[in-house]
Amino acid sequence: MGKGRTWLYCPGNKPGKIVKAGVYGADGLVLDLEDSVAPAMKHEARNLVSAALMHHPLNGDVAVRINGLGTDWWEDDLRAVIQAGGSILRIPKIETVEDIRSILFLLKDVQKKMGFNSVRIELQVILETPRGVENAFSILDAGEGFIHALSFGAEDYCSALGIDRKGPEFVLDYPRSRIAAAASAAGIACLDTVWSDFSDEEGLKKDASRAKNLGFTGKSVIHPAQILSVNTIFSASSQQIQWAKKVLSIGDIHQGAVAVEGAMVDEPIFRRAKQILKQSEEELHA
Amino acid sequence: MNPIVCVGSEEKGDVLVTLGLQEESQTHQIQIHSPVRSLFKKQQDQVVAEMVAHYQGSPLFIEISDNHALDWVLRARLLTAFQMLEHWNG
Amino acid sequence: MPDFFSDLRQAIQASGLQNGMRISFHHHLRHGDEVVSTILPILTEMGFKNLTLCVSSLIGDSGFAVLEAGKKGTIRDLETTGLKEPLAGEILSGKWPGNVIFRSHGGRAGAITTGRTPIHLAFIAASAVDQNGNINGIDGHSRFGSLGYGITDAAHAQYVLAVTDHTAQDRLSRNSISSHQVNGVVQVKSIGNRKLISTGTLRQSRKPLDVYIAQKVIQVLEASGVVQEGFAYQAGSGAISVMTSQFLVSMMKERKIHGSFASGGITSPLVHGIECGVFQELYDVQSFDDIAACSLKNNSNHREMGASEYASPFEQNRISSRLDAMILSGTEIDVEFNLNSLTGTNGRILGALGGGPDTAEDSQLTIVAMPSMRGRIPSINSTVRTICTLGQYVDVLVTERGICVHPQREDIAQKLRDSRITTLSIRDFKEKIHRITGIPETIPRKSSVAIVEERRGAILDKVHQY
Repeated sequence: MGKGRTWLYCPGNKPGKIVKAGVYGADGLVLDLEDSVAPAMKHEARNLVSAALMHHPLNGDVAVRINGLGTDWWEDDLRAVIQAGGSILRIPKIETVEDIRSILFLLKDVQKKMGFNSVRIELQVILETPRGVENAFSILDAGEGFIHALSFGAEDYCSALGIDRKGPEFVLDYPRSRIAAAASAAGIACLDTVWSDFSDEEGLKKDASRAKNLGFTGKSVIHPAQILSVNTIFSASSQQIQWAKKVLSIGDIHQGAVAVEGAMVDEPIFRRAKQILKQSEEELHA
Repeated sequence: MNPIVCVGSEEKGDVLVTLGLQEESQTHQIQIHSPVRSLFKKQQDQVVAEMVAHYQGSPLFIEISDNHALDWVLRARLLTAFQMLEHWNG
Repeated sequence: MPDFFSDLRQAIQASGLQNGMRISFHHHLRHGDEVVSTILPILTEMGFKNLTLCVSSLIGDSGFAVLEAGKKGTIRDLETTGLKEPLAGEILSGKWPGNVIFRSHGGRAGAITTGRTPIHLAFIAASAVDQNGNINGIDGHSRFGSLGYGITDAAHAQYVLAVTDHTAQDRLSRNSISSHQVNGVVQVKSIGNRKLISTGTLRQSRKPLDVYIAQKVIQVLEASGVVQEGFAYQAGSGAISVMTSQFLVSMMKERKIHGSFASGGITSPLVHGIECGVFQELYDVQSFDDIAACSLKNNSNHREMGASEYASPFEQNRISSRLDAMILSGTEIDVEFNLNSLTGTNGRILGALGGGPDTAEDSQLTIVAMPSMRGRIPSINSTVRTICTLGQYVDVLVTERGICVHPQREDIAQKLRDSRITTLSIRDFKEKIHRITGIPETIPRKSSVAIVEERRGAILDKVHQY
């Protein structure tokens, strides 16, 4: 889980959309109980998402974005998802170690009471505030291995800083770099923020490419039309695959660095080549 | 019918469930309107019967306006409707 | 040189039409047609009875006029590729007074040219006529494009009456039907609603599902190896087909592949195809939008094609026999790949045969592209309600939830496997979809109310009441 290139958000109170959500080629789905569901509809949406998890064949990995810790709904959301057999929870607005401990406390308690101890729950943690971004490393350390992906939420982050989400490309370089570094240090996936203007494909591609170049492994999307472009950006290109095959064809390099096509290849580059081929094989067989 | 609870929508893939009190009969009055009734009557009736069986209160008028909802959607909407009714009953 | 009439009644009188004879109309004016709804009431007023109506299709308000004419006894038998409500409801209720026969475009053309369905009076709506009686559909303010279906009618009808709202002072851009085939011309106030003429069967869509399925079709086309120099292509007018044509033209342009022709109902993506050199020619039996109509007028590589030349099974060199790939849709498909494009699973008459049965049989590769379900209704069932295209002519089914290859096309299956395109058997696909939707009840088939003819005239299936 969690290494998916694209995660498609789907409002949890729109069953017509849930039925179709899994067909568009996204590597993962996020059934949303948070921002896309009005307060008056939270209960309905929770029941729909539970029913979907239990009864509807959803292709790929399925996460449920529950409501945030500061709300009246998050505990019922968590219980409902576990009871319905959901195995991936996306938790918004995590800021501190205490936040993640609260989640884990309830999670373990619910699993124990429901007899779901053997089900391995994976968490995707969304860091959307300056404090959350700063605490990325310590949040991961406190995660007890439950956190399988870090996700970046740019809208709240930009709002906190009073900056324009669609400003110069560098405005998000810092939080993205910090989150990507923390995720990489923990050996987990790193998922970029959504691009909300789904009619702006050029903007989406630039945004996704920037994130990829900063170390992100995938991106959340809000519309099926965004999936193909984002999948392409986060996939190894045919040139990269050719290069990786060439590098690996030299065999073992425990003797030290060697030259391949005029460039130095040492252990980190060898590992990178292996990674590229592994990812492209996974995508082919997905 | 005095509608008390209304859950869902008429969007494609969804169903609108309305529950109301009724005094005309000792049994529940169930009306199902669906463009796919001729194809999925059995399944729809079964889901409604299953969900109604858990309800122990006074006789209801149950109106279902379906727009191509799958069984699990109908089940979820009915569950929510009955939960809201319990809450309303206090 | 034809006779010019100032009045429809006069013209009809002059044609020698009698009770029980066959009249014909084309449907090139689509939702904007005002000819059918003008003429049928006049025939009723004139006291005609028990006529056979032979139309290339019935779209929009024309159906209301036919319904009235049926109730009044003016029309008894009906021959068409398709029809909709409220006429559909009348037929299914058993109230239609006579026989109803559904034929494909090629089947209709074949029936006319072989004399099996002789037309006494062909009403040919034309957007322009010249002083000599030559007619076309590309000049004048009510232009609609190709007169493909009218061309066959005109060549074989006993009496051809051109109905127009524009008489040109000069020569026409081209003569779709020459004056020597026209017996009478009558000018009316309007042959159709300009705005509605270019809409109707053409469904433009950017719906994610349609886009996704079209992308899958392109993957199958690429993997099959048919898209190469000299490629000949046709697609229907549905949203997925139009999107597929758009993607195909882009792909061929990028890879510098030059196709020979695209044919059938012509849409704007295909017009773009000849404008940018992706296809050498277009063969147009029906122009689906105004861009196609204008292209037919202005581009010499855009050729008008009569229905017989297009798809009659009795025409040896028909265009459809040269197709490399055909993309079509339907309402449902069964585990033998039989395709229904006329009725829904619940028995309602929804659509038409169109040219699907003809091109499916003739094309080297036939791909059916459609959603796996529409709302809750599965598009795949054990048997279809009405067979319109035989399964032996369908090679690949492409949906958003799976691709199935007909067992007789192991060559295509291997190519898809080589390209790492996952397929599943059609029976497994049916199970998969029915697990989602539930298994629909089989609606009992009561009395038969219409016949579906195979393109050579044999009975293929029947439409039943429910």
